[in-house]
Amino acid sequence: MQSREQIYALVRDALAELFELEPARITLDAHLNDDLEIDSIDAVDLIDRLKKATGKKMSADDFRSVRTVNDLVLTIERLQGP
Amino acid sequence: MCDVIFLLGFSRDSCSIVKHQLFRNAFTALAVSQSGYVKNEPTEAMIEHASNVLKSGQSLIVFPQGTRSRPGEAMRFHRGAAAIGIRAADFITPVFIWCTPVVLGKGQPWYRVPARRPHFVLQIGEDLPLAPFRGERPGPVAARQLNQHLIELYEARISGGPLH
Repeated sequence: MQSREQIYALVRDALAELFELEPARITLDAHLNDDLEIDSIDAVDLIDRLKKATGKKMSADDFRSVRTVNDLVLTIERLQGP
Repeated sequence: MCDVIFLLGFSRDSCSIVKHQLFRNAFTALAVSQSGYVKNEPTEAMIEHASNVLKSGQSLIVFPQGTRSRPGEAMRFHRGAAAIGIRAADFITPVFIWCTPVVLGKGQPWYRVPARRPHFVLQIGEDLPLAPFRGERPGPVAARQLNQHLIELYEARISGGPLH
C-alpha cells in the first residue's frame, strides 16, 4: 500500500521517463492531454508502466475519466483499495 | 477512402487500419468486420491487433494523416502509426499520393466535378528502417521522433510534386 505522496512520485517518474518531460511541467494540475501532450496511444504505455511499478492490475477502462495528473494519482490510490 | 482501395489493390497480403466508425456504419460494417482490418480505436487491443498483423508477416497500410491534405496547411499525423511502427514493424514504406486537379478534397463539394478527369499519382518512397529510431529510448519518445521525421519527409515530398 503506497501513500498518495509515493504514488505521485511514481507517476512523476513514469511521465518524466516515458515522455522525456521536464519534471517542472508535471504538476498535479497539469492536464495530461492539453498540457503534457499525452494521447490515447501514450496512455497505453503509461498504464503498462504504472502496472509494473505498482504491481496492481489496471485496465484502460479504469482511467477513462482521468484528465489531470491529480486524477491519475487518485485513481491509482483508489485501485489499490484497502 | 479511395486511397485505401488503390493501395490494397497494389499490395498483396496487406491489412489496413480503418476508421472505427466504419464498423458501425450499416453499409460498411459487414465488409470491414469480415476483412479482419484493424479498427482505429485507441486501445491496447488495437495496438496488439496491429502488432500481430505485422508479426505474422503482413503489411499494414496506415494513413496517419487520417484525411487528405489541404494545400497550404501544415500536415498533422496521428501518432498511432508511429507508435505501432516502433512496437512491431521493421521498416516503413512511405507512399505519396497526389491528385490533380484536387478532387474529393476536404471542404470541396463532391458533386462539383472538375472539368478535367482527375489524375492520381502514387509513388513509393524508399524503405525507412525503424531500428535506428528504436534504440534504447522508451517507446513513446521514439514514436514522437519517428512521427516528426515522417511529417518532414511527407511535407517536403508532397509539396515538391511527383518525380518524373
